[in-house]
Amino acid sequence: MEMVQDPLNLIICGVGGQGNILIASILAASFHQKGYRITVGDTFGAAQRGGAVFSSLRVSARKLYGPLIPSGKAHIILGLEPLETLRLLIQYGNPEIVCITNISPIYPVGVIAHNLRYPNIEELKKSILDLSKSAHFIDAADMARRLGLQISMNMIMLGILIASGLLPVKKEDVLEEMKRIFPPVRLPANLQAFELGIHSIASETEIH
Amino acid sequence: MGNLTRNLPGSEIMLLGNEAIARGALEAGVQVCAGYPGTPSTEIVQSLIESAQAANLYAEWSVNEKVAVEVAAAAAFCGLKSLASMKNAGFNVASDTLMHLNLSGVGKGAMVVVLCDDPQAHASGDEMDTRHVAEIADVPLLEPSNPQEAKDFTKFAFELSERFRTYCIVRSYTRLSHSHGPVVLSSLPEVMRRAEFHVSDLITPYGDGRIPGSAPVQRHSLLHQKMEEIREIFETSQFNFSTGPSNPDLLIICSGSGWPCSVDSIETLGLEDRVGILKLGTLWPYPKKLVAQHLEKVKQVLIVEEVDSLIEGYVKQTLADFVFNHPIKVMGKSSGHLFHYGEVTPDGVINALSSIFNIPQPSQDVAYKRKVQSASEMVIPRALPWCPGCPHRATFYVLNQVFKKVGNEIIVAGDIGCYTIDQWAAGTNRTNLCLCMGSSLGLASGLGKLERFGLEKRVVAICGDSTFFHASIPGLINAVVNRSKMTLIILDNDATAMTGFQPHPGTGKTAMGEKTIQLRLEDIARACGVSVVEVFDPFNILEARKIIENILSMDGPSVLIARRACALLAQRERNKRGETTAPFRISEKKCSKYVSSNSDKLMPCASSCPAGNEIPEFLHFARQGKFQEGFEILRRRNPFPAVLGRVCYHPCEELCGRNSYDEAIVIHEIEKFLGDYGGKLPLKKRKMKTFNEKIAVIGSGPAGLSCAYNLALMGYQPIVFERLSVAGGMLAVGIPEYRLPRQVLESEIRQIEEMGVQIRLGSHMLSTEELIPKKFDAIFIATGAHKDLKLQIPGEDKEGVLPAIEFLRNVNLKKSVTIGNRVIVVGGGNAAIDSARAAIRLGAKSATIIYRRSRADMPAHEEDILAAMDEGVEIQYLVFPQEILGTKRLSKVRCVRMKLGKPDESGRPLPIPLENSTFDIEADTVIVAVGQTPDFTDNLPVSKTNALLINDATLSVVGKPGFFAGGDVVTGPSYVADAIGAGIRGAISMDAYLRGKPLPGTQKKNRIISYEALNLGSIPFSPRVRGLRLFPEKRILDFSEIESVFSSDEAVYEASRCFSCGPSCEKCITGFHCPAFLRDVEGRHEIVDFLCVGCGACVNLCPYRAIVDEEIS
Repeated sequence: MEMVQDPLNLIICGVGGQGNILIASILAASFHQKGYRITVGDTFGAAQRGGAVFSSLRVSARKLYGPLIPSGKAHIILGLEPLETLRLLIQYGNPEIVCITNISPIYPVGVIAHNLRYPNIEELKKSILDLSKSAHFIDAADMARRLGLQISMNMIMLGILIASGLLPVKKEDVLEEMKRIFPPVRLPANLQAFELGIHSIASETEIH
Repeated sequence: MGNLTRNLPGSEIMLLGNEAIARGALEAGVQVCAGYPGTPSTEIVQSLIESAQAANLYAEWSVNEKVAVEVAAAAAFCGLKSLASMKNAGFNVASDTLMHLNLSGVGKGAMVVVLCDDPQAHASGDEMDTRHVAEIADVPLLEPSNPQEAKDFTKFAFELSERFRTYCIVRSYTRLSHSHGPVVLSSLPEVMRRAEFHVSDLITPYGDGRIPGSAPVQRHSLLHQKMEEIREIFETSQFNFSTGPSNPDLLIICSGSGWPCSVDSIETLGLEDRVGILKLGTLWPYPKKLVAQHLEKVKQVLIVEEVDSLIEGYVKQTLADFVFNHPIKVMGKSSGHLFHYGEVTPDGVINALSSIFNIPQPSQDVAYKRKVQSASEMVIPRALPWCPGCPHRATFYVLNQVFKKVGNEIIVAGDIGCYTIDQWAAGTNRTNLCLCMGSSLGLASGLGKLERFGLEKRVVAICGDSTFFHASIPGLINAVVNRSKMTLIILDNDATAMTGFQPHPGTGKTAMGEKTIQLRLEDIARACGVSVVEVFDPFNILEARKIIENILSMDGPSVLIARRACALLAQRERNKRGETTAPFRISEKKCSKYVSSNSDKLMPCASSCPAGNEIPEFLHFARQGKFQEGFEILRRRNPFPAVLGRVCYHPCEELCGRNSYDEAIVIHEIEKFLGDYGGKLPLKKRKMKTFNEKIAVIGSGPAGLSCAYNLALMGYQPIVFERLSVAGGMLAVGIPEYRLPRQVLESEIRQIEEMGVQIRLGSHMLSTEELIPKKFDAIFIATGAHKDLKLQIPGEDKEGVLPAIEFLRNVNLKKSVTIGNRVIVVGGGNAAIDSARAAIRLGAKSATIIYRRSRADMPAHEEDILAAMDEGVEIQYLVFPQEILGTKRLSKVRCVRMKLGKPDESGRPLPIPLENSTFDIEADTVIVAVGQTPDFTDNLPVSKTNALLINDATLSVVGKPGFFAGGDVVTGPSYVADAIGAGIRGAISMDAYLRGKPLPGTQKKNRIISYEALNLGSIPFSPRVRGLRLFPEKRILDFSEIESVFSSDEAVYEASRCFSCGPSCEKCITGFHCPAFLRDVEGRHEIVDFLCVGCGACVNLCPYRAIVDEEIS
C-alpha cells in the first residue's frame, strides 16, 4: 500500500453549492475503506451558495495529518470552476501539480455589480497550464446540462478524477461508497453522472 | 450527517469533528442538549437532534445561548448528563450563567460546555480565544486536536464533570469542528438515568444565608481545591504526551490545531531529530509539573497555539514557579515568531522553525514564483452573494430607493445574519453600524436620543427574525420606554438561515420537528409598546415602497416586518411537496436587447437628436461609471460632445419618457460631462488614410468640421478651408465664452485635427469653377450664415449702431469693441440674448432687448431668456424701432408698440403697429440682431432667403454634381446640433458618391417606443440633478463659464434615472445583482435556469415585461 506521494495532498475547489464537500466525503470514505489514514478539511457554514470554497484531503498510508495543506504542497487540484482552480493554484501549486478543471465559469457577483472583469478563458487556461505539470480541461457543466442534470456536475468530475488513475482508489471502491451515501431516490442520477465522467477521460478532456 | 447511534464498539468510521463531539456525548450517556446555531458549532446539536429518537434524548435550539446553558444546567441539577454548545461569541451571551454555575456546581448530574472558536474569523466578527474562560471561571478545559480526540475528550469531560460536580469545557475550533477524520467508536450506554430533584436541595452560589456575604468566597475556595485535585489527574493524563527526541534542541509545546501544524512543519523541514513535541490536551488546570519536567531537558521552547498566548503565559509562569539549572528561552507570539492574531498554519510554524534554526524555508523556484505573480493579477475576488431569490436582496433594493428619495440622511444599524452581506461586496453597502447579535436595536435606541445634541439623522435598525428573538427584545423595549426616535425593520425569512435553517420561536417548529406555538413578530412588537407596526412582502416592490416611505415620515419608534421566506428554504419546501420550481426566462420577443436589433423602433431621445447621438447607449455606459466607453459612443460620429453639452437646445429632453413620469434626464449635462472627460484622455492616434480622393470642406463651423471628422473616420483626408483666422464658425465667433469657453472648443477641434483633418485658416475662398474637377473630387459647403440682416429704418447708419453677428464676432475674437452705457438690442433670437448679456459684461449700465412679438413667440431658448433676465437684462415685448435719432452718434431710438395679428408665412402672428403708440428710448448703443443670412457669392442655386438649395435626402447641391452642403448655409440660422447632423449626413453621402454606392434615400420616419407601453412600477420618483450656476452678480463680471460640470457621482446618478427604454437596457442585471442572471460576451441576457428559484422578484424590474414564467409562455 505504498504511495508515490505520502501524504497525498488533494484539493477540491469550486463555488459554494457545486457540491465539492460531497466529492470529498465520498473520496474520504473510499480511502478509509481501503485502510488509508485520511483527514479532510472543509470550508462551510457561512460560505454557502456562491462563495469560494474548497476541501482539502490529506491521504497517507502511515499516519494522520492535519487538515491544512502547507503552501505550495498540493499534488492534485480537482477544480469545479476555473477561476477557483487558479486561485487555489496560486496558493498551493508547484511545478509537479496536476489539475483537472471544469472550464465552464461561474461569474462572481462583482462581475455584474462592480464591473470586475472575469479573466478571458483562454488566458485562464494558459495560466493554469503554466502553473501545473499537466492540466486537463473539460466542460463538465455542459456535459451535465446535456444529461439534464446540472446539479450532478460534481459526480462527473469525480468520475474523471477516478478514471485519471492519479489516486490509489478504483471505480469500484467509489461506487460502493456512493451507494452507501446517497438515498435511493438520488442514487441513479448520480451514478449516471459518475459513469459519464469515467468514460469521458479519453474523449472530452483536452490533455496537456 | 451519518447515523451517530450505531452501537459498534471498536469499529472505525469517518466523522466530522463536531459529529465526534456529539458521539462522545452519546457514549457518555448525554440526555439533554441545548445550543444556539453558530459557525463552527452548529453540527454538534444538529447531529444530536438527528440522534434524538434513537438515543432517547432531548435536544433543543434555545432562543439564545444563555437559555441553552440554563436548560442544560437544569438537566444536570436533576442528575442527568447534559451538553450545551455554542460558538465563541455565544459564550459571551451565556457568560453570566456560566460565571455563576461554576460556583453553584452542577448538582448530581454532569454537564459539558462545548465552545467552538473561530481563529481567523472565517465566519465571525471576532476571533476571541475562549480558552481564557476556564481560568476565569476555574473550570476544567480540554482542547482536542482531531476527531478521535474530540470524541474521547468529550466523553472524559462528562466523567470529570460528574466526579467533581463542576461543568467542564471542551474547546473546539473551525479546523477541528469542520474536518473529517477516522474515529474508533466505543460502546453506547444501555441504561439511561431518571431525572430527580429533592425539594430540600439548594443549588446556588449564594449559600443559605446563615453567614451573610461569604458564600461565594467559600465556594470559590472550594472550587480551587477541586481544581488542584483535577490538576493532579491532568499531570499524568494520557491526553498530554510527547514525541520526538528525549533531549531535543527545541521543544514545541502545543495544543489544538497547533499540533498537526507543528508535525507537518517538522516533517517538511526534516527536523525530526532535533525538535520534540509536548502536546497538551488538558489545558486548565494547567499541568505545570509535567511541563516543568520537560523544560528541564531543553534550552529552547516554542509555543504553538491559537489564538492568544495562553499556554505561552503559563509556561513563563512555570519558569518562575520552578527552579531550573539552565536558562530556558521561551519563544512564541511574544517573541515575534508567531502572531497574536489569525489562525495557526503549517506555513507559520515552518517560518518560525526556519528562523530559529536558521535554515532556509522550502521555497518555490524563482521561475514558478514569477508565474504565480503574473497569474495573481488575473484573479478577481468572489464575494459571498445573496442567493438567487433571496428576499434580503429585494428588501435592501427597496430600502435604498426609498432612502435616496427622502434625502438619504439615515443611519442604518445592522446585525448578524444573511443580511450582514449588505455590508460586503455583493450587498448595497448601506449599513453603517454592526456589532453583534441584537446590537442593532440597542445602538438605534441610543442614536434615537441624540437629536437634542444636534444629530439630524433618521435612525433605522435592521435585524433578522431569529436575531430578534435572540437578543433584540430588550433593546426594543428600551427604545419604546425611553421614547427613542427609530424604526426597526425585521427581515423575517422564516428561519435561522445563515447557519442552516434551524427553527426559532417564529417558525412554529421545534428542533425535534414537532409543531408548536408560532410567535408572531408583530404581536411581540405591539406587546413591547410599539404602536406603529406594519408587515410587507419585499417582493411586492410598489407596496413595500409606499409602506416604508410612510413609516419613515413618522418619528417612531416603529416596527416594519419584511416577510418572505428564505429562497433556499422555500425551494426545499417545494421539493418536499413535490412541486417543481419554474425558472423564469427572458423572452426574446420582448426584451429590448433582442427586439431593438431587428426593429425600427427608436427611443424618443434617440429619435429626436439632430446630431444623431446614440443617447441610450452613452447613458448606459455613464450609469455604470464607464465614462471612456460612453465618450467613445458619442465620438463615433459626433466630434463635439463637450460643445453640444453646453450649447444644445436639447430636444431629447422634451421627448424623454421620464418627462411624463417626473423629470426628464438632464441628457445634455451627461453629454457635457463625457465630452470633458474624454477631452482629458490621451489623444487617439491618427487613423491611417485609406482613400486617395481629395476632399474640400468650405467652412470650419460645426457642419464643416463634423463632415470633415466623419470623412476622416472613414479613411479620407479632407482639407477644411476657413476664411477667418480662427476655426469653429459660430462656435468660435458667435457664441460667447460664458456659454462655450474657448479652450473647450479648441480642445475638440484639436481632436478633430488629430484624426487627420487639415484646417487652413485665413483661406481665400475659391470659386466653384475652380474647385472641380481640377482640384477636388468632392466638396462640402458649410459657410454658414454670417451676414447680418439690416433693420432698414432711417438712422441705421449712425455711429453706435452695431450689427449683432459682427459685434459678437469682435467680442469673441477679443477685438476692441466700443459699447456705451445704455444699450438697446433689437431682436428675439439667441443672437439678441447673447448680445445683451455680452454688453452687460462689457460694462454697459443697462441693456434692454426690444422684440416685436410676445414672450411666447421669442425664438431664443427659454433658459437663456431667464438667464439674461437674472443678469439684469430688461426685455420689452411688442416693441419695434421706427427710427434711430441723434447727430453723428445715436442718442435715442424711436419705437412703436405692436399688437399681434393673424399668423404670417412663418406661422407666427404678424406684428402690427399700434396707432399713436410711439415713444422714445434713450440709448447710446443699438445692436441689431434681426437675422442672419448666408453671404457667399457664386452661381450656386439659392432660395429667396439666399439659402443654398440641396436635395434633402442626399445633401447634394441641386444641379452641381460633386457638391454637397449643410448647416446654416442651407437652413438659415439654426441650431448647432442640426449643423452637426448635416455634417455627418453629408459625409455619408459624399462617401457613397465617391465609392460609387447608392446615395442615401429619404430618411423614413422612425417609430418611437411609447411611454405608455413601459412597465415602470419598480421605479421611484426622483428629481433630476441640478447643476451649479454662478450667481448673476458674479456672472456679469466677465465671460467665465457660468455652469458647472457634473461630478462623476452626479453623472452616474442622473444616467441611472434613465428608463433605458432601448437596446442598452440592463435593468434586470443591474437592478438586483441576482446570481441567476448572465450577460454573455455578445451582451445578450439570459437567466440560468438551474440557478433561478422562480421567486419572480425581477419581473417588476423589466420595463418591457420581458421576464416570463416558463410554464405560461
